[in-house]
Amino acid sequence: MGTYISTGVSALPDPYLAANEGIRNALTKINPNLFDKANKLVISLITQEYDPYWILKGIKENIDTSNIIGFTTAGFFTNDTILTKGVLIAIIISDEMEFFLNLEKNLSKDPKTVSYQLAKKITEILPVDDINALLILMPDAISSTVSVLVETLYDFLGAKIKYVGGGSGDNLRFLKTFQFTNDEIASDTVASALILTHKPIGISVYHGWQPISPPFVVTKAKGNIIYELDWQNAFDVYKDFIENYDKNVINYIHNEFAKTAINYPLGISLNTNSINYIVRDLIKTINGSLVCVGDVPENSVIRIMTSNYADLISEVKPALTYTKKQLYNNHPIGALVFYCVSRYLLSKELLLEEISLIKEALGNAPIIGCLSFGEIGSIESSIPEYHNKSVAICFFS
Amino acid sequence: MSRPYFIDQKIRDLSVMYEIISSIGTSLDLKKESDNFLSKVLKRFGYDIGSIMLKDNKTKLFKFITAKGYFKTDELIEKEYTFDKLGIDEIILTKKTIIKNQLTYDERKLIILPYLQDKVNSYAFVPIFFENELIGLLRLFSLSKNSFSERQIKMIESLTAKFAKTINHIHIMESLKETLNLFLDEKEKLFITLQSIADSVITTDIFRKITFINRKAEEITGWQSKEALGKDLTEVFKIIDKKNEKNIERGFESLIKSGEPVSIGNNLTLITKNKSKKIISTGVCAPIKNRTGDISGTVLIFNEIIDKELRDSEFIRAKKLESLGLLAGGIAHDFNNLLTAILGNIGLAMVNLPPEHKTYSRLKEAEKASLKARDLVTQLLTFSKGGEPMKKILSPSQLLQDTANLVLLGSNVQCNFKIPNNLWHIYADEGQIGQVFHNILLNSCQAMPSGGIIEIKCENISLKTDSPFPLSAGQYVKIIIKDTGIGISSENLLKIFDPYYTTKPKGTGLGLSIAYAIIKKHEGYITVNSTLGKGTEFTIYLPAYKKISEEITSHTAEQFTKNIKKLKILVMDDEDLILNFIEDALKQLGYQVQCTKNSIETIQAYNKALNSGEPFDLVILDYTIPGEAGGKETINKLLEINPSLKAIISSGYSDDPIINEYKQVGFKGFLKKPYKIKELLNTIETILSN
Repeated sequence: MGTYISTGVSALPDPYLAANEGIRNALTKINPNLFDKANKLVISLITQEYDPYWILKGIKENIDTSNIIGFTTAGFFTNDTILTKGVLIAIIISDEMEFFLNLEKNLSKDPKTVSYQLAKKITEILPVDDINALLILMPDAISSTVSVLVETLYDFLGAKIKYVGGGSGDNLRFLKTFQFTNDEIASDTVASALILTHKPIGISVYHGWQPISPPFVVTKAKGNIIYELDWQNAFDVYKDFIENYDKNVINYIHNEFAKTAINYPLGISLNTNSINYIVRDLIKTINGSLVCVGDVPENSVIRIMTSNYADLISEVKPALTYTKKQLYNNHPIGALVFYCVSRYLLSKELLLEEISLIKEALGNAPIIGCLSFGEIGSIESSIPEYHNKSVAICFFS
Repeated sequence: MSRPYFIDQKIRDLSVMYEIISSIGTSLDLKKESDNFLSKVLKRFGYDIGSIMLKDNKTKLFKFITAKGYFKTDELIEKEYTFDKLGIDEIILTKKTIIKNQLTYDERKLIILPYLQDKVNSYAFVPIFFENELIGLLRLFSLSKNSFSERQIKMIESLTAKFAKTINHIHIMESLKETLNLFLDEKEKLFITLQSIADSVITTDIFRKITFINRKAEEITGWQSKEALGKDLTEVFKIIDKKNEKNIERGFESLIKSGEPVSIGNNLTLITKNKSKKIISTGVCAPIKNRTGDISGTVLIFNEIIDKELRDSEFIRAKKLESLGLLAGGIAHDFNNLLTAILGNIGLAMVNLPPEHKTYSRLKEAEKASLKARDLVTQLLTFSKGGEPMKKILSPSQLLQDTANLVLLGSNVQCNFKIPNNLWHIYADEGQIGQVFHNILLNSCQAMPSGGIIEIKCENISLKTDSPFPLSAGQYVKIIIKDTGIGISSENLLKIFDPYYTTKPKGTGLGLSIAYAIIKKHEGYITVNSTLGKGTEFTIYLPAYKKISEEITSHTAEQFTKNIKKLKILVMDDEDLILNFIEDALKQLGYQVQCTKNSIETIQAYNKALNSGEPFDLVILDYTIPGEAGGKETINKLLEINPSLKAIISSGYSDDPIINEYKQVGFKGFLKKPYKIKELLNTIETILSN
């Protein structure tokens, strides 16, 4: 039989009706005869207007499965649709894949312990023999603990698994988000789906941001807050550079920090082998500090980044090639894409062009695209990280 | 925008080096430090899997301290190095970094974990050296080929050298911590030992400042450890000459000079924190020497004389009084007979002479002298066994106030009382205890010829078995009589309770020794403290009489559960307090009780009941009724009336022969005063059930 992926969307305002419409749209693309013998995974991406309870109710009335995972996103896209208000329902139906879902709560209170608990559960499921494993992570990004989650999971699960995911967000309003699996709906959690398959899976992360500043040493930081750069007030250092670099921002960097910073994120050198950077979005400034979406280690060296359309688009093809390469000679049957919402806010045309490039790489396979709040995955062959302003792509075969 | 590659590379390298170097040495926890180091190396050099093995200082084996990127990493660390010792042997042999940027089939097979055999494409094992000794191994794996360039390896080796130094520092700190813990354990053991021993121990530094004082020394000196620490030794351990009461500083200076232990002498008077005096003995001061033999302080060991000499002097005094008692008891009867004859004949001679006759006045003087001799005999009898106390329940408060009013009448001495309302009663001979108070108050009054203040303070006190006084555990009334008089020298203080010892020109030397004997007979204790020129303080401990009402209540409740018949009991005692208490107690328990106060009333009551056809089932008789026939005489008459009489004798005379003879006399049981309700009931029930 193999593996089939289909998607359906709805923009109906009523969540129950939207869920019904979304899943029916997805189901119509799959041969109903396949259902009985196959494992099923339903991925549901909903924007903040929708109540997850009614979404789940609507899905369950149309499909018999206990593998439903989803979260609040800033928006989503498929091969031919981009919506920032609506519901996307994707179905993966397969006799080659096994799905294991989990929802770990209280992520912000003790991220290390919560992550370790998740890791332990996965080690109990995952066989030691050679099998491809993909861990899809959907954490609450507002908890600002996703960096710790990813690092801890990798420490204990290692390179045996591939990691992909994105932060649950709400279009930069930073209100409450929801993550859910089957009957459980909560905030401040990480929803995860472990997929085991004998078919290869390709993963890559790209962004296209380039350094424009000299290096700055992060002389004082804790978690996702930078207090000092080069032994000076972090905001002052950042502002001085930006004002000198871009005369247009002088008047509003104080008042509209997020608007300015969206074009000038920070970059941490990925590693000595790579010219790549881990990008950190800046969301606000508090008492002279810079608050980032992900963690910035103390004593690390950062550079202020910027980009343009050409640079951003230039990274797509190499990344898609690298992703496809991991499938060896297998054809991609679908893609799961976590696309940074701030990248979308910078340029909607960019997303359209990137979708078209992804479609080109996929053939006509479906895209499950999510406008996320931070992306999880590995740039090239590096250790998985929590990235910002990036795109994390996963190809199934 | 063009980006000069070589600058970028340099920035990246410097950034990585700066970040990792800055993070080394930020923790004193070996695991945390290693975790952090490995994490940074993996991330910033772009490797996928890594581990650090360190040599265990004790076993000399290499063990995993941290690992990252393995599947089930935590479980692998637990298994330690047995799961994979890849590279160790080679590095021990060559002491050089191993780099494999492409793996052969055989090399892959060396990787024990199967899921890594196909995934890992290159690795490097970097030895961790400290001063040419291999102390650990950093193992790095990459899923890509050719991940380990020479430049990167050099950077990592440089970082590893710094990491090795930190590891060494942590090992040193751990070793110091271990040593410190051992030291603290030893210190605690020594502290507990010094606190537990029966000798008093004080240690000082070389400047005579106190560094330690044990519990026993705290008890003797009155200084608590927290107060004494840091004080000069002479302030806490203040000893004076017995004769001139000048401060003596013994031993310390010569000890510091000579470095040899010195004796600080025997029988020294120690002035305690509250200015009281204690006699100490066998004091020794020894140097404390450090490892190099230099004196770092001194240790002083001493004991309170109460443990030895004071108890000896108590014993000697008791023996003296016992001898005196034996002598007085032996001669008193004959001496009184002689005095009776003398006084009788003097009286007869005076009858035949007119008062104006000059011989009359001589006889009058002879009569006075004879009467004084009779008083003296009476006083001496206090020491003898014949002068046992006639105890009753009394309030020491009232007795003290009455006696003080009498003694101080007409003097310019004022008396202040500090007596709590709830002061316990005592069970004592009113006359004898009154005499004790009288003798002490008189002494105090005489010690203040120009007037002054006597302070009388009473309190209830419970003594445990480990109290410093020669008293059994129990409840006592403590009475302190303190004057502001001339005081008594420490030399004289030891003798003041000796009979015939006096410093007064007209004193008999019996007053305080009688007080001592009386208190002793009451199973109490008397002690004295004095400071020349400041005053004297007598402290008396007398056994308290238990609260009657509490006993009745508790035992009544217990007894009410029993089915007691309405038996009739007749009780004879001259003390209303005792009669009231027994009557209340027995009535509450369902007995019919009648009380009498003397022998005649008792016999009358007994006869009347017998004749009415409702005789008494039991009679309780007090052994002593002052001035009248006591229990012994009364039972003889009652036995004549009813030979099958059931009677109990009660007495407060601890050594009265009746205790051993009561059955021969005709009593069925004996109750020693003071007795508890339970004892009373048990005795009654035993007799009635027979």
